[in-house]
Amino acid sequence: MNEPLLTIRGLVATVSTAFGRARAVEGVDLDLDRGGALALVGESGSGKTLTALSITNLAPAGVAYTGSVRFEGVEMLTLAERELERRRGRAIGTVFQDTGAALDPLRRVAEQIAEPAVHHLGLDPAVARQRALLALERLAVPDPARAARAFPHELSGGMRQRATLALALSCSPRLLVLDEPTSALDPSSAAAVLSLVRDLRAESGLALLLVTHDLGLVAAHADRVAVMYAGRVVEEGPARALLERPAHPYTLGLLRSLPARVARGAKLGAIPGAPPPLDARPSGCAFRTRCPMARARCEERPPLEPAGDDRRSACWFAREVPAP
Amino acid sequence: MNSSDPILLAHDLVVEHRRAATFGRGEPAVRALDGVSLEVRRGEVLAIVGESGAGKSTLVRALLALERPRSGTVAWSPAPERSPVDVRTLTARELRAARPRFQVVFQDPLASLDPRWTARATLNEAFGAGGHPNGEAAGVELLERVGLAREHLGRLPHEMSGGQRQRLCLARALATRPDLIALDEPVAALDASVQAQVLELLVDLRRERGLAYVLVTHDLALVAWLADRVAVLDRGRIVEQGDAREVLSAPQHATTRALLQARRELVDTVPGTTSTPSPPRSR
Repeated sequence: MNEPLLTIRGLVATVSTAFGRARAVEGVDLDLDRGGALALVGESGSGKTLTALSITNLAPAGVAYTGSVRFEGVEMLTLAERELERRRGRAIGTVFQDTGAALDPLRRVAEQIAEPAVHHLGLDPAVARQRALLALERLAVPDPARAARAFPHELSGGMRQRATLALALSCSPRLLVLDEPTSALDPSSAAAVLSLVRDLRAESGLALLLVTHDLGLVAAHADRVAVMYAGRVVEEGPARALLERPAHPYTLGLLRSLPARVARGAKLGAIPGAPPPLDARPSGCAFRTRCPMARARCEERPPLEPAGDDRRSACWFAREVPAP
Repeated sequence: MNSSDPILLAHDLVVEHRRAATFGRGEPAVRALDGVSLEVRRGEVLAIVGESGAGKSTLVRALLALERPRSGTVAWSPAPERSPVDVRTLTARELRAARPRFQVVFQDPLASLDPRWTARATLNEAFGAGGHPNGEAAGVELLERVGLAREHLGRLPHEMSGGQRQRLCLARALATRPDLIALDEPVAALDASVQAQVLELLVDLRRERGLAYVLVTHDLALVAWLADRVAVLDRGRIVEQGDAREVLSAPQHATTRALLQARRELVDTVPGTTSTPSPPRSR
């Protein structure tokens, strides 16, 4: 099958603000292959989370999508709620940043992890609970039997995140969407969650969409990266090539901001300013007001165009971007 | 008093948290800190690392005398040029006078600023009763020092970006001319491109004012970049403590090795990034 698992074309997300309607996502094109792992990297307000939510058409109130989101050949943006419901939690598993929100505070953890398998796959509840226990064990939850009997508030943030992941994986989905899976976790919990996902991908051909602000994570956990800024993809390509030789000055700036890359106390390559608010995005290239390479031409918006091997960049001067 | 003098000491600190009694049964107290000893010298950066629940935040609260230890002592240098003394032996007046010299900046600036207060009100309160003798000029000078401007004086927290709010928290901490600022995950809530700006500001402020920092963080790369020494906390005990360069390049304790291993698994193959934080070179 040559069609990608997921194809997003011309995605626009319009949101209501105090100043009227504004386009938070302004025309995003993305592909994700079966079994592939795509990292969607961006800062707050970049549109990365709204892009991820479009896949299951779970827009928050006040957000409207246009464009096309095809999952396994089916258009998700116009699909009937009943059909969407069938895919959420079954073909597509999702874990959001807020570890508590997906779990019902009044029900035991194992029961909740088991429920989608009973509901979608018709498993016997006792069998489903047994599978839930095994899933917790695989996620390196200490004393999994006890965690299975626990209520969510009795678990630490890291353990709740693992339970949420077990829930998202309970029906063996083809796509797992992880939205900022690690920002609320300490590194040990984050490593456990992400290495389990990596093992599962190797075994089962699970595809991953990893939404993150942390460029440090993507080399180890994604094979492709799309960098978003102010509602658009500004650069996209194979993870390693993109990190070694960015083709957009914003990606370069993010890489140079990481303390891990420089000697102790040495200057970081901080990007000046802050990401623009939704109602004040610069015209033309939205990054030009913070960009050290900006020139007159940047007042005209650069399209996302091929920039060498299997890569795309939305910068007029993509070939002049220096190594990090 | 020279730069190697300690300005803050903790000796054999034990802090217990009583659990809420359920249905009349008193639960045994949980030992959040169990015999912690450390010192912070003038102008130095001490990082405290450890997993969630290891006691990092409790330790910061105890060091700032915001938490009453069950046993052990916290000692502050009560005025510049004086050796640390046990905070429990200070009179109320002495403690009030010493407190402003030990400041704290938290992870989430929105949660630590009063939503109804403008930056002007926040700074005036920090300057103390009657404000600063130089009036508004002192506030503007501080704002400019942290990368804000006069126009921010009238802003409320929600009218600023996350990075601007954290800069304001730093300005508030600086208003009392501290010797030490405890930084509890100071950039974790900020956008990636803004984190680097705030980190560089922290380095510059330290250099120019001889500040000491107690840095609480999960980010070992940040420790390697900023800290002189590091203390590794595990279940309320310091299991390893020493020169940041040595501890990160040759960890002696299993907990430290596990933290480094977790980091490797997270960020293994970022080109140009060493999976073990690079041994810090001297400046």
